[in-house]
Amino acid sequence: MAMRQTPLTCSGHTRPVVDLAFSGITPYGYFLISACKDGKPMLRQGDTGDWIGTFLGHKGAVWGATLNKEATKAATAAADFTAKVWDAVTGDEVLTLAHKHIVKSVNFTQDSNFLLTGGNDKVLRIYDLSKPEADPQEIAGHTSAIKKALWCNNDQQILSAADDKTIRLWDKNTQEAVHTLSFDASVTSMEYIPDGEILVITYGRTIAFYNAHSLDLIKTVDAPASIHSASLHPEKDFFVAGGDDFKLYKYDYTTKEEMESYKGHFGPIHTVRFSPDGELYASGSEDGTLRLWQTAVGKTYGLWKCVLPEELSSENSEVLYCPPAEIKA
Amino acid sequence: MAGSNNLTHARRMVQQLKVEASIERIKVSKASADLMRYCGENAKYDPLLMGIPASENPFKDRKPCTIL
Repeated sequence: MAMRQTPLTCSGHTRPVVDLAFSGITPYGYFLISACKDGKPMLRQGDTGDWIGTFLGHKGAVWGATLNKEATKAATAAADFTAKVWDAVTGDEVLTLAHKHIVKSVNFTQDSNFLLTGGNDKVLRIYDLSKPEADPQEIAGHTSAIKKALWCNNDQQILSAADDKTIRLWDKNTQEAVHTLSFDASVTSMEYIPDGEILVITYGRTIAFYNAHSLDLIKTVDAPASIHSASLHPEKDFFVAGGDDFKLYKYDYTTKEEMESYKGHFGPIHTVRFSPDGELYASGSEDGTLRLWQTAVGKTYGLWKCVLPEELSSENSEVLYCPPAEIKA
Repeated sequence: MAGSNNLTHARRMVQQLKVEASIERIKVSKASADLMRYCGENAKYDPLLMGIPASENPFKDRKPCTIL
């Protein structure tokens, strides 16, 4: 009895959207930043998808973007060999951090004082944002380009995924690899859930869940198509995944059953993330759009309103969704 | 003089940016809702949607005219 849902389609980017990140919940709601190959990352209101601003300054494709918890700072990683830190309130560029190769991933610590970067030069760098001129702490070890680097375990450890088909857990202070996970295929995405210490990894058609401390495998789920990104719901009831077949899949985390799938994108899905309140999830695609999907289809939330069909015939028991005529700003 | 050219160019840019900055902006979700409401309310006045009554249509096919 799947209900049809109309996603909120956010256009504006002119090239594929390769990364997206949500902020935490702030007094002004929550926000979303999207990284795009057009070099112009955008900041949007998280629950409606309304465009707020575009960060101008990068001279190449932006591969990674992140917001801090309070949505006051943004960081982006680009093919112009720099990572930039921005004031998310004014849109001004605050810091440019030069690297020796394409930067792929950026991540703030919980207190927004340190920025972790990783990219094609295979080195993880930690920048102290209160001392931007100082040299970053460097952690080397990966043998090929780093795809994703995340702080974890209370910002004391770092998780990094690289094209050398490994994921490594590093201790920030000793700069040594505490654990290494090896795979047969390249890891396509990685997400860290602090509350519950779960690591979500995708490779090939598999979505795998690991314990973020021990790197012990919790479970794996296989999808019908090659998956590029997956995200676990904050309450760990479901997870969503998207990839090559343009569809978004929603699975029950406990039973591993596929619950629903949604078509909508016109290209492979590169990134998918749940919002901090779990009420919606956003997907970014090769088609240059972001789409926001409701977790609980039928609920009145954000711009969604439950619309029942005119005549309730036995075949037409769907509930249609469309943005309402009245929006409270 | 190249110097005054740059100055004129810069002044024009600033003027243009001032105009752009003063444009009233609303959120996309509000704009699209307004557009949808406008279309819904005015659909009945749109001849392209509702059709034109044959009596008022100057371009309808007429029977051939023969002049005696």
